[in-house]
Amino acid sequence: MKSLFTLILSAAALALLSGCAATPAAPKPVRVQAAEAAVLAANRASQAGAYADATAFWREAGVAYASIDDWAGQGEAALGLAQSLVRSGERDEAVRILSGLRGDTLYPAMVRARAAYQQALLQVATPDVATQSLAEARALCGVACPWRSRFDNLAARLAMQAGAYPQAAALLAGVLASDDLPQGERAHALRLSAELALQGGDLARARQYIDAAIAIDRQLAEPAYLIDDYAFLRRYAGAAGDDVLAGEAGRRLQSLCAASPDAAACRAD
Amino acid sequence: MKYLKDSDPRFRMLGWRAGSFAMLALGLMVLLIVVLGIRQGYFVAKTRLNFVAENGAGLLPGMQVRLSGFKIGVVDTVSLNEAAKVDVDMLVETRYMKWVKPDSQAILQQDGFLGDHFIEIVGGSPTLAPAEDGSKLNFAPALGLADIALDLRQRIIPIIDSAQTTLDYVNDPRGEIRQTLVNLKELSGEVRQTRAALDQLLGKVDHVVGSELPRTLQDAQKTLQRADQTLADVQVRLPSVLDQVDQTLGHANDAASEAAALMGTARRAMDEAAPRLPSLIRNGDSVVRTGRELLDGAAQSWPLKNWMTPPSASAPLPDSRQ
Repeated sequence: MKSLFTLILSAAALALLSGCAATPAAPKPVRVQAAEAAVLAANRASQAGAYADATAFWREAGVAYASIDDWAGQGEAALGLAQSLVRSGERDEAVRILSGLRGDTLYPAMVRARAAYQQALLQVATPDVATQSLAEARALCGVACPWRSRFDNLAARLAMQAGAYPQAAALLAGVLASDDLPQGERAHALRLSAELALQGGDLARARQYIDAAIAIDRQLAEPAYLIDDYAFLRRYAGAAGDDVLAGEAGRRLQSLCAASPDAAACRAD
Repeated sequence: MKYLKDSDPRFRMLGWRAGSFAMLALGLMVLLIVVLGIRQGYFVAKTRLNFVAENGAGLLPGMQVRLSGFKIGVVDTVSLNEAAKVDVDMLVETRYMKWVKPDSQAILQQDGFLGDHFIEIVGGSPTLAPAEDGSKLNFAPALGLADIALDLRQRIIPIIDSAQTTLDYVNDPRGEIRQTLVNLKELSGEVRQTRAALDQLLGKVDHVVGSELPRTLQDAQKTLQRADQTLADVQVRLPSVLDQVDQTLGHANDAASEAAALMGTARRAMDEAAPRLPSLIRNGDSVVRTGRELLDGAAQSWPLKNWMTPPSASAPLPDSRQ
């Protein structure tokens, strides 16, 4: 018995030692390490809401990738930089960077597709221009595009702005039918569907959609999304003549806006 | 059997000659019709345009459509629609359509005061494509003499009414202007009374200057004597005060010297430390970077990698909701 125990311990020790003795991965070149470290730091800063730091790290990553002629990396850094600039309120600078990405064929097609999509998001106030950018994004992304649901949601939003409600409904139905849909996009599709239902006078369906959207957005814990949802719920309550619901949605909205006063829906309210 | 025989040579082939003459006349008539048709624009490609007028006054089928004073078409039909407005269709020669734009305006105008009405097409953005067949133009009716007179009347009558109201206001005996004039009249009478009172007052002032002024001057002389005495006292005490000020300035000078020495010491310390600052910053940066790499490496190794979600190595794709 004792010898068996000793044998098992020896085998375990050997396995551990062999794990430690595994050949370490060959180190990457210094500039690559610097670029990747800057990307990681930029993502961490973005997650923490430190957008000024994120902007600086994305610029650092862009310079590092440019110094080793890595256009895909440069493109990623520029896309991240544009996003952090948007979050910092510097939309004009972000649009300038994205326009530069779209027009330069040295960047990979997927980077240019993302640039066109991000620019379309910034052009929502001018639906015709945004639609053109979105069409370019679709063309560059190709048939097996992994971001189809995002594109369809944005297309539905633009169609609703233009009053093309049947087209928007068809796009949203397609998005909601997808299996591998990110939760954020599902919640967005549900909120847009609620808008459509309210527009069509189907109050019951509108309530059903917005309740589902709120449930997902509460899990995602994104203040701007919740503010959008409750702003819509208050509008719905007004249309349904439900004063109790309108009061409740108003109080929730007031509390959310007090915590996030810069949200677009709070500024418009 | 032939009963009549044309022996006169002038009647030979009379049928052929008459036929030829008739055919020639017919041909000339057709040619004339074609020439007139071309002149009238019947055989030219045309584009149909239309507009809606509030009423049909002056609008007749066949009236000219002009552009820059040139005839470019005619009014085809004028009809009353369901909304009790007037639909007017125009036929415009297609070769002139390059100057007719979707935002061009059709204006009803008249040759002189008593001439024919016609439609003038004006305006239009040069950058726009020409209007298409069936396009609808905006219509602006021309102002007739009666319209101009009515417009003039509507503008002038308020002015006359306002002038009348102003004159009534000025002439009102209880109005502010008449009352102001009355007040002015009373004021001028009071000014005369005030002047008389002022004359009396000046007479009294003359009396005061003659009797009271010498006494006042004596008082002033006494005051000046007292001021002279005070200045003499100040002159006696001033040297001791100046000595004290001089001592205070000496202390301040000593303090400034000490401060200068202190600044010199601080500056020497800074000069000694300054060359080392860049290397200190570099070392600090290196330490931070190494620490970050160590943490990244640790986060990727077992078991920490099971507890932590690694940040993405690429830029995040924004949601379509932003």
